[in-house]
Amino acid sequence: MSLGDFLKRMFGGTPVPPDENTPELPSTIDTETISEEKIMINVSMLQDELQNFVSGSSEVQGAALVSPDGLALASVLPGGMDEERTAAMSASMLSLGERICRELARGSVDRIVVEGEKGYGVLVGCGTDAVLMVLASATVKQGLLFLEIKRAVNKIAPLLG
Amino acid sequence: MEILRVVVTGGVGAGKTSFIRTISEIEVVDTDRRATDEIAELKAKTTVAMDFGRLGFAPNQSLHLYGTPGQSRFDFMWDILIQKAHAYILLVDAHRPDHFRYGRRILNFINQRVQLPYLIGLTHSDRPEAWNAEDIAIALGLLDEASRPPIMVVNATEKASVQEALITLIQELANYS
Repeated sequence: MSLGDFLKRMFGGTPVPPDENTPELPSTIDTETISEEKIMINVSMLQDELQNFVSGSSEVQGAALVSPDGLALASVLPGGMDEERTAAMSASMLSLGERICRELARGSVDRIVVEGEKGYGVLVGCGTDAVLMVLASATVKQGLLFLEIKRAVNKIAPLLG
Repeated sequence: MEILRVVVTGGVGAGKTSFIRTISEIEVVDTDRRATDEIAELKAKTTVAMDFGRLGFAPNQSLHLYGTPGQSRFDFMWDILIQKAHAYILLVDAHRPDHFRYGRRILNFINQRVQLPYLIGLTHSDRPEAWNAEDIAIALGLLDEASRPPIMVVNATEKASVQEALITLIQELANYS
């Protein structure tokens, strides 16, 4: 191909019929495999993001991302804590909390905090399709914890699409 | 004010939420969330914490109805609700034999923790493939006819049918104590 032909092809002009040795592009792209791959990436990214969040602060002891109907999406939990049960409990709590807020005219829920002798359990909505549950030690500074959770939500929510 | 607390339990899709919605005088407090697993094929939304409905049946007497979630991952809710209950109803979907074992599991879970009068309601009995009461009782492990609780057909979406079930349960409760 001469330089002139090449420039013509690059910058418009009459289309040049493809050379015989130019590989043909597939006419249809298999979108199914692509979207599947995207989900695969998201799952590992979710897990990574959650792991980062938990290891990023010594006071955060665990976190779980669950669906609103109580199925685990990703989790980093202290040993001995059952993922399935934790996920179901988180969904129940948030749902009940939202209902209480509505019934008692408290507006929409920002977060649900369970404060125990040994620490906190915090629940926040994470986009429309997930709930983030965070376990933190009793020594954590609350303001800092809530800020960190907010940041984590901002990172995780886009991964859920 | 005397309050009778009745728990409505059973497997997924048995009709627990419908049962309470049908009879409650107040707007039912529900905690429905969109189902994201295989249950989504059966129904769009599923209870994740509890349903609550109320029914006054005599002056100074009212019935509080608590519906549990169906999935066993929510068994902590079964435990919380059953501890304070006076009686319970187990709803069994009569046309899905694969769920009978599940009903049996709920029955065992509850009977291990508390001894309460109860009733078995068979829902979806109008379906052609529905099993009859005797066979379901055996499938639920209730072999001894003498100690068996009342087993009756319940249409969870029909007020008269739900009322009948509750009346039977209250009679059972009166005989029990």
